[in-house]
Amino acid sequence: MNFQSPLSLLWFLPVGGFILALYLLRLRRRDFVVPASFLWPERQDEVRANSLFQKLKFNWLWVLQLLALLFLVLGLARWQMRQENVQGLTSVVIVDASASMGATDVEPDRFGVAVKRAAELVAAMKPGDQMALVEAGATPRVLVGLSQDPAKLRQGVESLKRGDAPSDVGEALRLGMALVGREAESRIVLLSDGCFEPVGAVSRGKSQIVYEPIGTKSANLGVQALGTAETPEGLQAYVGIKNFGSEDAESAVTVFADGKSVFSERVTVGAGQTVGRTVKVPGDAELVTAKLDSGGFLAADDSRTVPGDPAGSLRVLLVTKGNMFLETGLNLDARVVLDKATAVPNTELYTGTGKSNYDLVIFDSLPEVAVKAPAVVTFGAGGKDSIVEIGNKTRSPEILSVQETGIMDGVNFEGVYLEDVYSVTPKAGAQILASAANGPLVLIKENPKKQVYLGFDLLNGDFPLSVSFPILLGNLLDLAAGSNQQGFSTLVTGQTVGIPGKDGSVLSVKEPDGSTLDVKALNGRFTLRNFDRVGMYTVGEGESAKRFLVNLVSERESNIAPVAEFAVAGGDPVKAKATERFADLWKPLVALMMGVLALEWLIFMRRS
Amino acid sequence: MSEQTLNSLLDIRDVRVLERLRLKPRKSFTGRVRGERLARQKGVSLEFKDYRDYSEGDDLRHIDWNVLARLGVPIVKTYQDEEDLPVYLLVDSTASMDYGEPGKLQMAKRLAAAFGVVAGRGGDSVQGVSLADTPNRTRFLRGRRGVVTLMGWLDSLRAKGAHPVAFHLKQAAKVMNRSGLAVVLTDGMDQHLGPALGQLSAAGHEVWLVQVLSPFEIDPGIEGDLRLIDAESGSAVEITANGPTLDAYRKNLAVHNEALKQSVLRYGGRYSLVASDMAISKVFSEVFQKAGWVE
Repeated sequence: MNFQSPLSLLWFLPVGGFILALYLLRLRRRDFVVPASFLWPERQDEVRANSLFQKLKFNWLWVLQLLALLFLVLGLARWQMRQENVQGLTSVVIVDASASMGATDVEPDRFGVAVKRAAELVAAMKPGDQMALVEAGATPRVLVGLSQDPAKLRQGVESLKRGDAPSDVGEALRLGMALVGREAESRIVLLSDGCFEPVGAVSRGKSQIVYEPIGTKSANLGVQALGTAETPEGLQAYVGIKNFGSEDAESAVTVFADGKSVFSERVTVGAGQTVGRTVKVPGDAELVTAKLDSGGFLAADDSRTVPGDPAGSLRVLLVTKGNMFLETGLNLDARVVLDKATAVPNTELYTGTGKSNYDLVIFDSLPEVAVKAPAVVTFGAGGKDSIVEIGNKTRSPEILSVQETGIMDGVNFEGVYLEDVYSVTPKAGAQILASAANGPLVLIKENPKKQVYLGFDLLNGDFPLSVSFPILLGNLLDLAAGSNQQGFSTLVTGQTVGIPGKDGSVLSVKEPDGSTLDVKALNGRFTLRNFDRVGMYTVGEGESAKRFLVNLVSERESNIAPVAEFAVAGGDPVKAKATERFADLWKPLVALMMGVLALEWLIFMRRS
Repeated sequence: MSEQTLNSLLDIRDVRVLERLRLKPRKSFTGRVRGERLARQKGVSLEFKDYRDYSEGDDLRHIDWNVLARLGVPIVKTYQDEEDLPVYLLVDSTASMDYGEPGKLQMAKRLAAAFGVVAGRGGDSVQGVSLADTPNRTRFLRGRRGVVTLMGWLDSLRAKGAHPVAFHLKQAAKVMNRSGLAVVLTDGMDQHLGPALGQLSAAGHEVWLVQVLSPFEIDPGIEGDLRLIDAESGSAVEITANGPTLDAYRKNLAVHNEALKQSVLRYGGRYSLVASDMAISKVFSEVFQKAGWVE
């Protein structure tokens, strides 16, 4: 128990004394002559007093009035219930703003509950407390740094915005640690459903992570896959619906071609199962959309839209010993159906006959071999079927030139650290797209098949951490897909896109909800980070406008089952804690006071 | 009687209604002068008519002792003759009657005048008796002139005095020598009125108690913290006039009125509660006539 303004309790003495003094006053009664007084009962329910003093008589009215005063004074004194291990003097509130927080298993939705809780935490701040507010979206951001100003924090809470993208809670926690990790008894309060990717190592410092899980249910159906393919029967779309919940679920799935329904069926999907349907769509369809009418508590994955052109869908084979950056980057592209292998399967090796199952094979620091696939990308080690002859490695050579066209469109090596770069010699037909001090860095050969060579290992340097990395991947996928994509690109929510542009020029981005955002070019490019809602974005205007189809492609987000504890690399798992806070009781106290006054009024009226 | 005097207490419509009525006491009384009422009387010109059972209050002198000796049953001989009925109009003029709108004393006077008219038309003798600190009464009055005299006397009555009505009633009973019909017009605001009424009955009178209460007394419309002062004794009661208090008052009044009623009925009398704002003709036609007080 705690009082924020204990001195306010002193008000009880003078005001209570005044109330009692009123009851000590003797009533001045009005004389009234009656024919006979013996019929009247001697009944004195004094409700008013106004003159000479008398002995205090028991009366429910003054008891209730003192009780109401007590509640009022307790409210003024800011009576709070102190609960241990909740908020320290310094705290950071992290609000998960990811897609799964849009689940409506709680009212109004998980994000709404989190925002309300954040507001409550702000309201419960004691004088001298500090708080910071972090929005954990695709790119976590500090909305309000450590502040003692509740108004500022409230404003921050009001500006919290949820997207349809996966959140980077690990980064948000690291931000929080950076803010308060050195403060003794500091707390990091995470308001989340726990539906986020595993959290990497976080140095907890002196802070304690208080995880407050939000959400109750897991029922959710989502469009897990949607792609088109040319078949002997014509253009067909494949729709995959996955049940992420723990019980069987049913929904109607409808496929639209350019807005017109071409297929509809009610499907039942077992818990954790996936159901697929192949649908014939008109050959000239620009856009194919799959929608669920009752997709559970999360709406963001209830629909998906892809270009009608089959080139929009890519089967990619990643030959690697393990590369998180490549896997993540490729999976982020909605077109990609990714397979991973440490060596090329025999069925994919080039034999002169047969067709490949893949549109693109990527060799990640493994020697390139001849494959059936029409497009090959090789990082680092060359191989006898590569378009270059491999020489020695040079440590961090200077990058001399980049042709920002084709696959290098929007790719910039400025500020990028490449630890080792192979010195290579181009074979016949290979075209140099970028050069380093030790020779060609990026080369391409488009005949007889599309082959790209990049003379560095992705894991030896920080290129995968640069903005150019996803752009390069997108360009490579575009190359594999061909150029006939009718102006549509597919993205996953939260993805960042760079578009070359003159410094200072402005590019308008029309969002799915119709609002427009202007982005200014900086350092020779427009960096578009706001693809955080499902739907179609239009970038630019007129004929040069490019349309991006943004879908939620994240099993982790679609699996909305609330998580009671989550792991943090290098530390103990963070377990859910009960809602613990300073509960400011002024509201119930005022309610009690009003109730008591109402009762007092009722008694007064009955007696009057 | 003059029209003017009549109008101060009764209007002409009341008189027209009243002149058609006659008092109908339960018992028969001995009169002194010839009247229009059949009565029993010992003496000249009395014609024996019948025997009847003795009833309480009958003059013991008229019991047929021979029959009593032979049968063991008290039987009273009745004679056919026309005799006047002694009617006492006892008007409570204590301070408590000066209350209400219209005033209770005014209503009591009007009722007394009305009874006087009815009795006068029936050839009965009427005596007005004021129940007040200063004893005041008329002689026995008969006929139209007597009614006029009665009206004038009633008009002169004023409410005053510190003694309760029971005290005055006992005093009056001592001087009411002829047994007859005693019409007591009072508000009954005296806890000891019951025994006084019993005393009056015991004196051979048939008591008709007309309790006159103002509308306010029947349903008081007061509220707030009050000091109630008794109009007669001056004693005070402090109350908070609210729902429960008023409920208790109404209950006390009902109990008190019932006690008064029983104390009268016990001796063969009659009881009626009349609001001071009722019309005289309505009281006689709808209350007294229906209850058999008049015919």
